[in-house]
Amino acid sequence: MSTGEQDEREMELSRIQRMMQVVVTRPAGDLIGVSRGAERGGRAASIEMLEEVVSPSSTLSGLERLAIYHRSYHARLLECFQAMFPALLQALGEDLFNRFALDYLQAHPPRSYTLSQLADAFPEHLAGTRPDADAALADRESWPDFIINLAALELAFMQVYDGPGVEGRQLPSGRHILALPLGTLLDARPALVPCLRLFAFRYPVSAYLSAARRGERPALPMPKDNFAVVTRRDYRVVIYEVSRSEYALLHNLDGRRTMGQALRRSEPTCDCALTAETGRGWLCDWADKGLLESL
Amino acid sequence: MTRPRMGLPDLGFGVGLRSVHFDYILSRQPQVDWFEIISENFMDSGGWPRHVLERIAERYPLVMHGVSLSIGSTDPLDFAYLGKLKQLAQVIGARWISDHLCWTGVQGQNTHDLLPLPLNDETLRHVVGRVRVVQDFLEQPLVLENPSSYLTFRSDTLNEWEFITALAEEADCGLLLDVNNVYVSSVNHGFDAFEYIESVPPERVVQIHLAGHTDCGTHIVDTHDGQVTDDVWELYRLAYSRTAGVSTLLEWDSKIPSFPDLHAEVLKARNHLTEGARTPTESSDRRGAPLPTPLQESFAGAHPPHLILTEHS
Repeated sequence: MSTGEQDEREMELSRIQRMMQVVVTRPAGDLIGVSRGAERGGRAASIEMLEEVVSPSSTLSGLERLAIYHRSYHARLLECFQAMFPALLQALGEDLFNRFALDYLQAHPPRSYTLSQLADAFPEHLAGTRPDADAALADRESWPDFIINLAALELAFMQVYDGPGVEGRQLPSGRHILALPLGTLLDARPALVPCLRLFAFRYPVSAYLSAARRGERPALPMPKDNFAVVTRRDYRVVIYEVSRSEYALLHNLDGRRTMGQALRRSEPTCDCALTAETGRGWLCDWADKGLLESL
Repeated sequence: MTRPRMGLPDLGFGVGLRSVHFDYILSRQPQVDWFEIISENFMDSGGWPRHVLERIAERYPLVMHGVSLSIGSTDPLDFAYLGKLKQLAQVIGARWISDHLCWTGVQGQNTHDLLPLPLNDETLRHVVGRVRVVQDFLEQPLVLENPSSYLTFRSDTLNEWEFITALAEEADCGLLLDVNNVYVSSVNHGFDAFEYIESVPPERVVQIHLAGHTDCGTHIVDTHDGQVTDDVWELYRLAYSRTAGVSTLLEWDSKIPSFPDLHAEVLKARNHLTEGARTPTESSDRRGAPLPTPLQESFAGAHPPHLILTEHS
């Protein structure tokens, strides 16, 4: 076989794979769309053309055999989504949840070798496709925030569970921080553990998620600011609710700023007097909860 | 001449390591010959799954079984992925690395399905070339599994057993013979499963897979959600007898039973080999039997997803 002929045959394999992928990843339940999907793949194709590529069996046409992969693709990924977001599934119900997930998959088909990254952009997708996405912030409905907040928290839960942690490492203790002279404390540069995620939500989704994970069926909550820390200790994911002021200080502890600088930067957004001793008290508490990697 | 199992060890009777059994295995340390892991579930893990894996690796032989190598894809090989695969194998002392004869996506996508290839000379050349590159990179033989499939192509010119035999010999790679997949595909495509087993070069078979399947009436799906059927045990006995002893692994990925029940299922293989006993199962001979009522359109899922989400208690 000449090089040209070989290239042509390899292009044939490539063409079959591109066509099959377009068909398999068409929107769920759209069997007729199989042929339209192939057209969108850049090559006009009809059901007859697909049948020219795929052989029938004794019981199924070529198209019906392709449809097995089509159904399987969506069912598999939906199953993953439902396992990743059990609280959101409970809140939305299966039909609506699946609609959101399938819409996401059409916009963000999986590209990673691991399913654990399947939903990495799901909260952003929900935020970008909310019905009032184009409205001014003040004019927006609040309920989409609940869905977006809950999706973000469940995604963080999963990422913290399987991401890098600090198990086996010596972390600062509250007792050590309590014993520090004030000047030393203000010059320290506290850093948070790498598995920590910090959130400011418009809905109390941390309590909702905790209840759902306990097997309860919590009522849909009313809007209420919710500041939450998601972290991991001894391989267990833990969610702490914090005050607005604690959130502000945590947000400013990046390992580069001193404690004094962080206190000053946090003060304008705090809802209480933020003294050095208040900060020390929080720092002790956070250290004992394993939130601090270093000082 | 190729040595039996490509010179790789016979590990005995193992089961797929699944996260729902982590706590049981750590606390009870059951007498299991070996475990097979899904490679992609641990390559990037820095949490409890990876911690558990490294503890299990201290006590049990491990084999890595991948689902995303996409050896048949026309996309370029992903060397970042291969690098992580190689690194994990070194850390846990994996006895070998396997994946599937399939493609999972093109144009940068991954469908997370094991999609079928046209079985002809052109595909064979394409896959042989890629297997050689992968083996050079991994510095060890690659072991490839026959996947279950639900369609064939009009451009096929080879039977699947002809294809994998030629592939194994030309690329000098090992085979993971999934006898359940042979059965599933034989029903879906109407070929003789026994001819398949008898045609595969036994010295290339490094491992055998067992699993359950679901009969959907018009076709059979490889669901990994139940006991091994009598038809598959029969194929297993034939496949095993052709080897000089070979590692046997039970996969169970959906409706996963307790660990003792899972382990007991693979240990039935011993009875089948030593006594020729027929263990009653729910299935009877499928060939020639009337087709059962098709399942609802609800997922009779081919290759259930492998995703670790279970938090330890």
